[in-house]
Amino acid sequence: MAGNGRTRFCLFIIALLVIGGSMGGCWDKKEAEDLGYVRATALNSAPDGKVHLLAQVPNPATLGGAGTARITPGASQDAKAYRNFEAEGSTVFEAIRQLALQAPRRLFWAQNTLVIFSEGLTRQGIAPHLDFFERSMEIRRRLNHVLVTPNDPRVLLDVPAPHETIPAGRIERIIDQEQQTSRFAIVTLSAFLRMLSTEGQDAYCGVVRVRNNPARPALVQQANAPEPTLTIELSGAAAFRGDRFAGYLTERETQGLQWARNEIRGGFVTVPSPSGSGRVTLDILRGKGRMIPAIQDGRLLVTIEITGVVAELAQAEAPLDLTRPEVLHTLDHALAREIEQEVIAAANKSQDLGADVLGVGAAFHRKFPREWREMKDNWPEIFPTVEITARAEATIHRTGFIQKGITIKD
Amino acid sequence: MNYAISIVLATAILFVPSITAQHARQDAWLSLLLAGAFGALVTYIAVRLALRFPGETVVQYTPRVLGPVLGKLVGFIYVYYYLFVAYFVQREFSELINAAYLSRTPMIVIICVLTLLAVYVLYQGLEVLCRVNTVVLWSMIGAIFLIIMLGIKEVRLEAFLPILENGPGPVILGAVTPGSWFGETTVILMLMPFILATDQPRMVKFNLLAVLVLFLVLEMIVVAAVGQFGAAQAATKLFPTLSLARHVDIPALPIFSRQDAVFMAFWVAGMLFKLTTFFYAGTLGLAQWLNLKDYRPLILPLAVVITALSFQAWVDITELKSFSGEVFPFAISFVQFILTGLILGVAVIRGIRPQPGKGGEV
Repeated sequence: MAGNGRTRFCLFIIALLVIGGSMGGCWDKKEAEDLGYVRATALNSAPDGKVHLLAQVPNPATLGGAGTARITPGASQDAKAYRNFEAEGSTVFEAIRQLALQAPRRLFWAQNTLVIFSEGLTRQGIAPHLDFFERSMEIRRRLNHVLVTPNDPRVLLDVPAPHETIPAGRIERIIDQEQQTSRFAIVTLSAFLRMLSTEGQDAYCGVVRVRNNPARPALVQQANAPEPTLTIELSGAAAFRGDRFAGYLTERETQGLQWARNEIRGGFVTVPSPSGSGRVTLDILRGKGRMIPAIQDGRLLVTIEITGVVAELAQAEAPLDLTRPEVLHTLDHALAREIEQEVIAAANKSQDLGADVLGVGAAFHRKFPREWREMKDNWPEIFPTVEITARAEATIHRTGFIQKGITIKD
Repeated sequence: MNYAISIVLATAILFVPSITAQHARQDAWLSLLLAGAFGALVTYIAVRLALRFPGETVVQYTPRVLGPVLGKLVGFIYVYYYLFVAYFVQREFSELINAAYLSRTPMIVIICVLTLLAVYVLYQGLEVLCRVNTVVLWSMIGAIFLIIMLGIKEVRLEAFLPILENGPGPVILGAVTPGSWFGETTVILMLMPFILATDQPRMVKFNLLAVLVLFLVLEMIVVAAVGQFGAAQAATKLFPTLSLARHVDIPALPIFSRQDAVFMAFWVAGMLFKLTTFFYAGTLGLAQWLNLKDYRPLILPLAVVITALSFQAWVDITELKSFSGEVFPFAISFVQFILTGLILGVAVIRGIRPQPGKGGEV
């Protein structure tokens, strides 16, 4: 755009004014130093049908700098690395806004990674509270994990976390390690919502518990670093019926559930040794699970097929002679049987609880849409009568660095 | 070709996937197949009509085809249609920005920023628009492609079963909205005179190719949304594509998480482009309808008019969304399919040809 000198000068001045005027920021400015980054949110039931909300916010002043994060009781640290803000409200959002009466910063939920429900609240139904987590633009549904705790969230999120700066960080890091055990369920908020909204699928999620710290008695003598009396542990899964808590799955059942749901990324299985004495523990590397529904003479059958299981021999209590391939084949077979039993254990538990966490109904819906239309309203009654069988196939590909363990001389 | 893709893409990816999923559930991908076929038909009709009068715009030749009174009326409907889509774009844009990022910023500010940019581009003319588009469009498709690829491991194929659970009805219903969106390529009726005479014969091929690319991109998004969220969740999302962008998480590569801002940057550019195109078509059309020599004096007044319209037309976002599923498709399909088909039909039957000396002129 050509123009004479004067117009250009005027435009320049206008541009300066516009830029200058907008430097102050806009209506929606959120400065990093004015935000309180919530890392974990816990919900508990409160009297009068209210909801109790706890938000864990790291204290930036104590973060960074070696040693400042030690928060064990009695350590010469006066400020905690985090603050747990608590409030009650008739809705989750109301409670969040109540927090603004105590929190010096605007609490910001985009970095939240844990949504923890107390067992008590889940027994009353969580649908009314979930809406907030589904609707909010701040919350990242994929980056949040859903957990249920049988304990008071106030205790849970205040258990000292010696290796991490804050308890929420500790839980996150344990979740990252899930593939070592597959002994607890990891379910993102997104997956949780998806299960709740899928026909013929009940939801489940991981469980976090407070435990007495077994390491404590041995270490009390160390004066300057007393071991906390409590510790936390993730183990098992919580099954839901609709939006209500139905019951817990044990660690073994949880691994079985994850096989059936094709969520296995690791784990371990211990089987009796083919040599006759002792046990063998196998480290699972991968495997696929599939659910095959069938209707035979009006009976509902489901075969859960676990294929492509690859494992590594991690430890044998008694020497195994792996120079003979048959030994390993026997072990393959034993592993497959044990996986089948895990799956059946999970199936039996879910049928006992009447919570279709395996998604058996969803499998029928996919394969028999016409028949499903008649079953779907009575599914809670039909589900416990479904005959569930499991079929697994496994191979042990690796045996570590030895072929045959040492034989101890008499 | 670029042109036709981007004018549709930016708004289509906003609402369409969830509107389709609401009706067709897990069969949304089938709906898109139907919609793509319908879009191809509409595009073919529009390009044939445009090619019959290669030197003129639809506003110029309808009076000759349909008679002066009816022709002027239909011409005005076209002008209004272009402006209608333009202010629909303004509103969609500001609703998303307001809902997702700038909840306290007044909507007028957001609309003004976009509209002033569009006004600037209009003063600069069509060439600027096209050159910018070349960059914007392919970066946008690149961004979408990246989002889909990063989430591809999360797509569960069982989410698409059972196929045709409730018969073909819902699938057809789900096809209506995306089908009409594909038909927005009829903007070619205003742009044909500006395409080089040597390129014009290839426009049929180009535009059909554009519909194909559009179809593929939308299909990818719908498959990703239904596969990752499940049909039920995909249908309840207000902005499924943005949700997809926010859904990316690769634990080993946390750098790819929370990158929805990158996607938004390209989307905003795409929305600007779409607004500008339809605003341009509407402004030019009105100038020709009024027999003005230049369209530029109309730019600012019309910008004010469409901004005002974008405010008063819808009360809130739920109204906008149900409007874009239940009214908008039929309204624009009426122009794109029925009117365009009618003009072509009458022109063929009456044997009306371009006026001598105007054919193929740039």
